[in-house]
This record gives sequence, C-alpha cells and structure tokens, in this order.
Amino acid sequence: MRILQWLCISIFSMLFLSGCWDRTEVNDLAVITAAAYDKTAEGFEGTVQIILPSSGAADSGQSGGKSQSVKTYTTGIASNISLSLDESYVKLQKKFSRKLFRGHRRVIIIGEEMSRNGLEELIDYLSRDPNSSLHTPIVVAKGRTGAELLKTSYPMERASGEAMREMINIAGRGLKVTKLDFLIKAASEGVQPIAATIEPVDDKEGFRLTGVAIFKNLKLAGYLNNEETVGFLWATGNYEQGFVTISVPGHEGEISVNVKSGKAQITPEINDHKVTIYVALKGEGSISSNSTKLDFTIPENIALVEQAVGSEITKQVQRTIKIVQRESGADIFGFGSTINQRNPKEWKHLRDDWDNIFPQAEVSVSTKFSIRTTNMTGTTPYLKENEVKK
Amino acid sequence: MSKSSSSRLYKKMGKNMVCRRTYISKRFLPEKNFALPALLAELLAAAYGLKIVMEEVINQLRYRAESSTSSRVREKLSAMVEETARLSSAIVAIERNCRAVKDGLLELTQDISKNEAMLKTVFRGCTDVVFRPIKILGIKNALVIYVEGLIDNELLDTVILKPLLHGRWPENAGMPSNIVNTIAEQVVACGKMQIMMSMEGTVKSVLAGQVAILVDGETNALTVFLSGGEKRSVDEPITEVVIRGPRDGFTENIKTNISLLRRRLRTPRLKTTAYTIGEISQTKIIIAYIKGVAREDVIREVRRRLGRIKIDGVLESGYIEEFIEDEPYSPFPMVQNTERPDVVAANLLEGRVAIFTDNTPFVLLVPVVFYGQVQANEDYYSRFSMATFLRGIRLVFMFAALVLPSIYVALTTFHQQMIPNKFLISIIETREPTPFPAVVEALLMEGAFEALREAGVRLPKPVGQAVSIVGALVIGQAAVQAGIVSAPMVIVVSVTGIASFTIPRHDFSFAIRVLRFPLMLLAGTFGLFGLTLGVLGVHIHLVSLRSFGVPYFWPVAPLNIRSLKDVLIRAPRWSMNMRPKLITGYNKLRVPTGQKPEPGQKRP
Repeated sequence: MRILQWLCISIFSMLFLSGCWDRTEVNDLAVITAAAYDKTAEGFEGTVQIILPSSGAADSGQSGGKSQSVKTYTTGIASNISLSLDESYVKLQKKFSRKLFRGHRRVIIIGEEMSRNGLEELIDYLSRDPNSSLHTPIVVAKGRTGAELLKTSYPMERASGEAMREMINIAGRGLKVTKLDFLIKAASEGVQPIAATIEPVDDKEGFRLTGVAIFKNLKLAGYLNNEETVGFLWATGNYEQGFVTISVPGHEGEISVNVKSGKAQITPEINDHKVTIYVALKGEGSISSNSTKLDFTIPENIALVEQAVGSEITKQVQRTIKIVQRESGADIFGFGSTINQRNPKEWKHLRDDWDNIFPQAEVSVSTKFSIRTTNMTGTTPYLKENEVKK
Repeated sequence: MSKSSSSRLYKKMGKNMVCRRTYISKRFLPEKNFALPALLAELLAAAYGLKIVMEEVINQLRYRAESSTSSRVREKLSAMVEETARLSSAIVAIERNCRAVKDGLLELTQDISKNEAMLKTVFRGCTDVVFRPIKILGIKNALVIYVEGLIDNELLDTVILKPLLHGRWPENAGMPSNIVNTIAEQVVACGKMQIMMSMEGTVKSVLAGQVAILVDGETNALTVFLSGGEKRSVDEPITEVVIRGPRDGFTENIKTNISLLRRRLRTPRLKTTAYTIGEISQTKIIIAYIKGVAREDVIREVRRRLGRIKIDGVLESGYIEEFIEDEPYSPFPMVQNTERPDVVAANLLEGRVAIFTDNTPFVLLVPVVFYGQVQANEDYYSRFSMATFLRGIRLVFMFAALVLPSIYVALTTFHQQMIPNKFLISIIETREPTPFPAVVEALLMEGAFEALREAGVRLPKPVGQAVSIVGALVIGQAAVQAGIVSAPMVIVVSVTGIASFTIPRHDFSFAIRVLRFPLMLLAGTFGLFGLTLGVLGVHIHLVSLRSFGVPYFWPVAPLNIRSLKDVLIRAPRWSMNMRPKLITGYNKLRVPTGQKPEPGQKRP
C-alpha cells in the first residue's frame, strides 16, 4: 500500500514538475538548408532557404514523392545594427508557420558587401548560437549579395544549399572551410582565413565554384580564381587531385599528368627582419595523356617529364604567392604560423609587423615530382615502331 | 464509538459468518446422499475457515479496544472479545472432532464387506473406479480396486487376476496368516508394489493409478503399480524447435519424463526425489539433480520452498513456478522452463536443479541467469563460430527489440539534429498527412502488433499463417495509405517484432516486449534522456535480481572472467573446462584441458 501511494505521488508530481518542453514534432519544423547574410544600407539581411515537403503518401502508394519544391524567403530589414542578426532571425520566424530549425544548415553564404564590411558581428553571432553546428561550410558570394546567390536555381539537387555543400566537398579539404576552420584561422597568429567562392553562371541556371576569397583581419581583401587556387592548395599541402599539362622542351606535343597527391614543407629563414621562405613541394602522379612521340618505357623520358611538371608547378605556386603578396598582402598560406611554430622567439619580433613583412618576403619554391605509373600504355599506341622517339 | 455503531460492527460480523456459511454449503454439498467422509472433509474445511475468521475478528476487536478512548466502549469491546474467543474455541473443538471422526471412519477393518462398503461410499459417483471382487483360489474373498483408464488392463489380467484366481500357492498348508505379504512376495508377478495400512493411503493410491488388493481378514492392502492408459507419444516439442539436436520432448507423464532424463545421465548420482503437492490434485512433483554437482544449499532451498506450498490443485509447472520464484513482481523470469530433455540434462550437468511436474511437459530449472535466457539450444550443438555469430545477432536484436521504437520516437521528437539530413526530409514528407504525434503512433502500432501476435496464437493452424501475413502487409500498408501511420513507423514496428522473435526463451521475450511500452512513454516525454533513464532503471533492476542466490547477471555483474567463455561468445567445447562457479557445487572440472583437436601429423 505504501509503495502504491509513493508511486502515485511521484508520477503525479512528475506531471507537474517537468515534461516535454522540448517536444517538437517533425512536421512542425521548417528545416533550413542554407542561410545567407548580407549587409544592406539599412542593416543586416538574413535569407534562409527551407525545404518544402510534398504532401506525403500519395495515391500511388509510394510515400515521399520525387518532386520537391524549394522556396526561398527573405526577411524584412532590421534597422538596428548591433542586434540585427538576431532581430532579423526573429522577423524571419514571423513569416513561417513552423519553427525554423537550424540544425541541418548545409552552408552559410556571405554576400560580398558584408565581407567587405567586416565579419565581426557575424562570427560572434554564429559561434555563440548552440543551434548551429560549427561544421557548416562558409561560402562567399562573389560579386553579388548572398540572397541573389540563394535564389539561383540549381536543378540537379533538391536544394541549392545542398548543391553548394557537395560542390565544396568534391573540391577537397583545402576549399572546405567550415565555421570552425574559419574561427581557428581568424584567431590564430600568422594566418588569415579564406572561404570558398561561388558565383552564378551568367545566362544559365546553376552556379559554380570560382576559387577562394581572401580575408584580411576579417575583411575581404581579394579573390583568387581557379588557377590561382591551385597554387594556394599546393602551398598549403591540401592539393588532392588535379591535372598539369606540360610540354617537354625539344619535343612537340603536350603531356598531361594526373597529380595524385601533393605535400608541402615550408622552411622559413629569418635574417634580422628579412624573411626567406623555402617551400618544398613533393608530388606524385601518373601520365594521363601524351601527344608527343616519347617512349615512356625509357626512364630518361620519364625523368624529363618529371622535371617539366616540377617546374610547371613551381611556376604556378610562385605566381599565386606573388599575386597574394601583391594584391591582398594577407598571409593565407600560414607562413607566419610556421615561423611561430619553429622560431617563436623571432616571431615575437615579427608579429606586429607581419602585415608589412609578408608582402616583402622572398619565397622560393621547389618541386620534386615523381611519376608513378604511365597507366595502361607505355608508348602512344597509334605510332609505328620507327616513329617513336627513344 | 457509540452503541449503534458497535452493534453495527457485531451485526456485520454476524452477517459475514452467515454469508460465509451459506457460501460454503451451497458450493460444497452437491447431492443429498453425500458420502459421509466427504462431508466431514468439507465441515473440517468450513470449521478451519471459520476459525480463521474468528481469529481475525478477535484481532480487530482487540485493536479497536486498544485504540479507542472511552472506557465504556473498551468494556463492550472486551466483552465481545471474550464472547468471540469462546465461540472460536468451540469451533476449534468442532474441528478436532471432525478430524477424529474423519480419521476414525477411514480405517481399514478386517471385514472385507465393511471395507468394501466404506470404499464404495468414498468412491460414490465415480463410475470409472472398478470394484472387482474375486475369490483367491476359490477360497478367500478379496477385492481388487482400480481406475479403469489409468491402468494397463491386459497386465491386470495376466499379472494379478490370473495368479490370484488360478495360481499356485506355496506349499506350506492352507491359507497362511499373512496373506498380503505372501501375495506380494510370491504370487503377484509385478514390478513395483507397496503395502498400504490406511484407508486414506489406499484411496490415494487407487486414484494415482495403482491397483489395490484387499483381502478378507487383513487390515493391510496391497497396491500394485500397473500404470497404463492413453499417453501422448514422445514427439518433438512444439515450442522449442531446433535444426540440429535430438527431437524428443517431454510428455505429460512424469515417469516417461524422468526416463527420458535418465537415458541421458546414466549415473547413480542423478537423484530424483518425489513430492506430492496440491490437496485435490495430489500432483506428483519430482526434483532431479546430480549430487556433487548441484549446490547443496540450492537443493535445500528448493526442497524448503516446495514444502511450503499449500494449494488446492497444481495443473501446470507454472503454478509451482509462481510459488518458488524469487521475485514475483519482476517481469523477468527467475525460473526457466523447457520442454526438451537435452536442455534439462545439460543444465543438470552445470549444477542446476530440475523440477518435474506430472501432467505437464514443462520442466522447471533453477537457478537461472540472464545469459542463459539468451542462449538457444542450438548454440551447443553447432560449431563455435556459428554459435558465436548467432549469439551476437541475438544480443544485438534483443537490445533493438527493447529500445528501437523508443529511439525512433526520441530522435524524431526531440533530437532532430541527430537524424541524417536526407532521412529527416523523407520522414517529414511521410509524416505530413499523419495526425498523431510520434509517441502516439508508436504506442498504437506496437499495441496493434501485440494484439495481432496474441490473436495469432489462438487461430487454428491453416488460418493462422494467412492472417499473420495479411495482418502485417495489408493492414500496415492500408494504414499507411490511409494516412493514419507513417511508413517509417511501420518499418520500425516490424523490425522490432522480428527482433523480439529472435529471443529464444518465451517468457524472457515477454519481459522485453512489455518493457518496451514504458520506455516508449519515457522517450516520448523526455527524449533520449528519458530513454537513458529508463534503460538504466531496467538495468539496475536486472542487476539486483537474484535467482536462488545466484545474481542474475552473473558472470558479467560479479565479474568472473573464466566463466565469460559462454556469455558473449561460445568458446569451443574443448576449452570449456570448468563448470560455472556460482551454480555448481564442489565438483568443478568437467573437461580437462589439452583436448583441442589437431590432425595427427604436422604438415610437411
């Protein structure tokens, strides 16, 4: 009897004390797939893209129809600058009959205006919010506002936010900058953050990845296009896969090499405020197409190709580094942090002036490339025996 | 208390007594010419019941007398106590007299006609009891009593009637003085027999399927064991089917069952002790154990608990189980039951005690641990890799059967971030038309599934299979199409159902099935936190259980690494050297080491 009374009391009190405050049915959620933040004249503008589910079990008995409609909604514009990001969120919520759910956000898009203006409030807002995951990639919309980019339709995926995320994933780990990476880089010494850039294709549907955006002290400092991004990836050791086309001196025709992996070793040398950085790159690859008459069963020919590829890569990387030094002066390669790791005492002197020292630093790149395989054939198959140059 | 209320109390007591008397008399006196001993037995029972009531009344009065404040009330109450005490002592006297009369009536006399008359009144109305008067060698009157359906009629003729009627007496003259002993030793050609000295013993033995022989001039009766009658043949047990393994199962006859066990353990150390439990059913219970292998204190405890049982009839071993189990309120079974003799033999070899019950093929095994419930019989007949893999699957699915619907409910209701993106979108889509929240849907579907399962048990065989398929497919599909439940829910429920079927022991799977529902409620109200609390609660409960002194989660909970060979994996037979420590007695070694099989020669 006593046990029964005790049980009743505890169950009753449970009903009053607590229960279900977090309970949201799945159908009461508006799942945000992408969010874009812009700065306009009046304040911040937040745009979200949600997935509209189709009406479920149709008459054909197949649940979950294939056709999905995706809509983009904008907010009203908030006028107060300092609190505006949350306020814009609140205003957004007023437009929806379901609770906005940020847990599945695929990308965060930052418009160009906002990047040029400075990302301080945005970063703080994003990092405090427990609802948004720190592993969301950040994308900069090149040349337009984030809202415009979000409204571009991308027919291949259900939601363009998903498409952007997958594009970045394919591009590799060098370009996939999540919020966490951004924050780490922004907070570290000697390195400046970057973000992938996406811009819509003119006159057609869809958008494409066009390199990276360089940030200096959380303000947009410049862009790198796709070719220059290759150099950036090499220098940071994030180069995963790609092609290099070279021509060997003395032979006509071109050889394409499929690069499979790239490593970088950065060695700084400091002489009394004069900084020299040696970048030693190592690459491996295979020959993917050959329009010369060279016979690759002979090792000397391969050595020729290796040298040519090495010098081509060196040129690319050097070009990129020069462009970065000249145009933006932001140390996106992490040379400063390498100096900090190796010679922390000297970094202390260099630290305050690094923004000026970096553009003046001399960078010398050397590449060692090795070809692992010539794939299926050694010589070009359509050449006759006597035409092949040994 | 005022006067009116005290008289109300007295009247209430009186009314109770009157009611009780009428109740007993209506139920237990079926005909006008009742057999005197039967009536006396009823009177005895009624007197006993009245005594209990009286004692209760006295206690109540005393309590009230002590707790009341006014002295007048106390006086009145103590007067009532005296009155009722006198009544109670009168009832005790009646009870004593009844018992004496009953015992006095049922005594064998030397006059066979009197014995016959007494027995006929006892067995009045039992037409299947046959009274066969014979004359031994044409001289002496004797009476053979038996129940027709319980004995082997042919044997009766050849073994008893023929020798007694036509047989030869030993040489020393006429009728020897101790006829019954002579018959027993020299005339009746039968295996087992017993000499009864009381009427009660004779009646009991006749009802137990023996033939009673009463001889004129003797107060002893000879009972001969000639059991026969219709029996179910030994067949594969329906509830525990294996792919590899022996196909005999226990039947309802306890002798056959014990013999099936004896065939497997041909040692005199297998002890079988018999008990009789149940006043009206007089069911024979046999406990079996291997002396030296089973723990002495477990055997003693089993004996003690069996001796404590007072019940009118034992029809199934389940009755015994409920009396001897350690935790009556826990959903988990503390006593294992099985229909297979090889399972019983294997468990006896590990040191357990088996309890056989007459008229049921289900044999109880104590003590039992959690991991014993998760093992199937085939684990021990297949090779160890197969057994280990299947055991792993069973454990995983057992856990899934417990928590899968709760996980689904918790994730979709509270923790949508944990669901992968595309899956979340498809769940949202499929749940658009459904009106109920996830918890309600889950409870509905699980309830419907349990109802379907229960209905499937009772359906006749040809219809049963069709209905289960129809039920699963059509009803589930139709419900999804009508928009009542969502498709993921149907999938979750069916996977849970399949998972619950992987659990080998039926009563254990019931425990898992029943515990699903509170876990679903917890998950639906408190999310994963609630689910974790629920699972923790179940776990704490499980770990605190003990079955005849053995902790339920042994060898994992009090950790015994050596015995872990049989828990998550099933180690090969040649490496299971020792018996499980807490279950066995002093004889521990079962398989000496060094027996791993190898080919005779090494490869060149």
